[in-house]
Amino acid sequence: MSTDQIVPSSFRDPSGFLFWRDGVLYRQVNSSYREDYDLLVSSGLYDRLVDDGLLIPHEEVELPEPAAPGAYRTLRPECVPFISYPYEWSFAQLKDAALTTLRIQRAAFERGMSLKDASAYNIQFVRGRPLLIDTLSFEKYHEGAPWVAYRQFCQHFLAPLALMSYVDPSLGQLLRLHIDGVPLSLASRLLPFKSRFRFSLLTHIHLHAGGEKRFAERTDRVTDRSMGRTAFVALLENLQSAIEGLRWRSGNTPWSDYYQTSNYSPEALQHKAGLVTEFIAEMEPAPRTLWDLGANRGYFSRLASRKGIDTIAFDSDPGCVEECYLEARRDRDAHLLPLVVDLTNPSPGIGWANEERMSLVERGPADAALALALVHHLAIGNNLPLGSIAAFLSRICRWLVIEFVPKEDSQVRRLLASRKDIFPDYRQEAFEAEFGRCFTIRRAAQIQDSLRTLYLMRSRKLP
Amino acid sequence: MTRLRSIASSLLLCACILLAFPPPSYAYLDPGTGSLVVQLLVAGLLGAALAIKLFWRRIRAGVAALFGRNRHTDADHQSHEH
Repeated sequence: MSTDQIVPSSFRDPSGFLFWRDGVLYRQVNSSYREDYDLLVSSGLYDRLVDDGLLIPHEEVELPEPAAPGAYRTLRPECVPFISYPYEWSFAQLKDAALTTLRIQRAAFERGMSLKDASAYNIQFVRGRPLLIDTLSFEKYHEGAPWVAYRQFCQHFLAPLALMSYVDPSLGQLLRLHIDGVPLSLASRLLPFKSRFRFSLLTHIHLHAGGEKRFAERTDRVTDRSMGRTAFVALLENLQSAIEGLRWRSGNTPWSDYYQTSNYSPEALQHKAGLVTEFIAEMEPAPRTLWDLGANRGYFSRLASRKGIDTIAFDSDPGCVEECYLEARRDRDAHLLPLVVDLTNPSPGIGWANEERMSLVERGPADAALALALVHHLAIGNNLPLGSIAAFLSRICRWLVIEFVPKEDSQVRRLLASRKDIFPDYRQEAFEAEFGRCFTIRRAAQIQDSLRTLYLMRSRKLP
Repeated sequence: MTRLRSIASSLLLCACILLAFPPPSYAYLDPGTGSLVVQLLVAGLLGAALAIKLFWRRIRAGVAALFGRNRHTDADHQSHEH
């Protein structure tokens, strides 16, 4: 009796699918994909892409019985530690994912193959770098064929990047609304007029959007027209220079100067960092995954990632996440993945049956979490009862390092400056009582030169 | 004038290539009719520009060789962004 669980996002491509069996992830290659799969291997493309860190490596395995009829091969791909989605990436992350897709397409083209899809969801960040996780994305290149994934590439990468660059970095969130990428007609309407003066945006977005509308009713076989190799290469080169030419518009986002304006003295910050390191070292067993909630630019996340713990640094501010990613990339930090997530509205399960893309909670729990200078924003900034915060956090992590920021603290006073104080329960005793229901409090330490307390807790809800 | 004629003939050649051979295109992803038309036009245009650039570079190299000079141009580093 098979207990296979087919991965819900794995239904679009008939070439194969992903499934879990006995806690191991496999990919079935269907017989219909045989020729393309064999070419991927025999052309040397697979080896080259794996060597260059552009494609997830796999092993071919023999299973006693296939997950479904029509199996040609079964692969066991290397496991991706944390699946993230394009609507959680900062500008530079989406840009790197786009350029990786184009590099892969050009490498494929040199070996007589082509990407049959260019979905941003096929790219994942592993060891700090973007790579393709869908081994079945390649098909044999037929002389004269156009790039079948051209529109998808524009919708998944070029359009959101142009919007983030020309309009606002938060528009990457449009990918959460449009699961197959930002419709080009929408992008064309939202982009400013000056974007038409760039040849690449004029053609790949504005004319493309117009063309889609104008020729949508055509029923003759356009696919019978041919596109030469030079034209194919020129198209890829132009897309590459279009992506490379898009820039992050700097300018302070609300949180990007937090460390400069927060009320920590250098001594307090150092003491806090020391305590966080100490508390992480006390966790048993030693955590392998850690979520830093409200990570800002990842100052404290690095205390974990530098110890080899796979750390996700969540922040709602795209500017902070951008800086955090650029720094991690510069440092070649293989264990730090910054993501744009608003904890008061974390990524939901989206797509068909709400199952194609997992919610944030489904991707947990993490072995440990940091919630530093966060609780006052949730409790006072978002009116959340302390008990509700404790209950949520106890579901997503086994160990928790959390900082309590009292009302007397200048940051809380700032939050209360323009509103009525309707939070009589926001007190340290109430905090300890509410968190004590969901966690066992193991340690508490006052942070020097501040009014704040740091706690180490173990969830009662998770094994 | 000669250059203009060469550009025009390259474009014409491109358009002919564009409309000539019927390649098979059986994908699970729908590339979209309008999107395909745009891709063929844009890629044709970019391909023609690239072909002209490569052709022009060869002529320049040929002329340079004729006069015994071996000049490096910066054309190698230029992108196709216009």
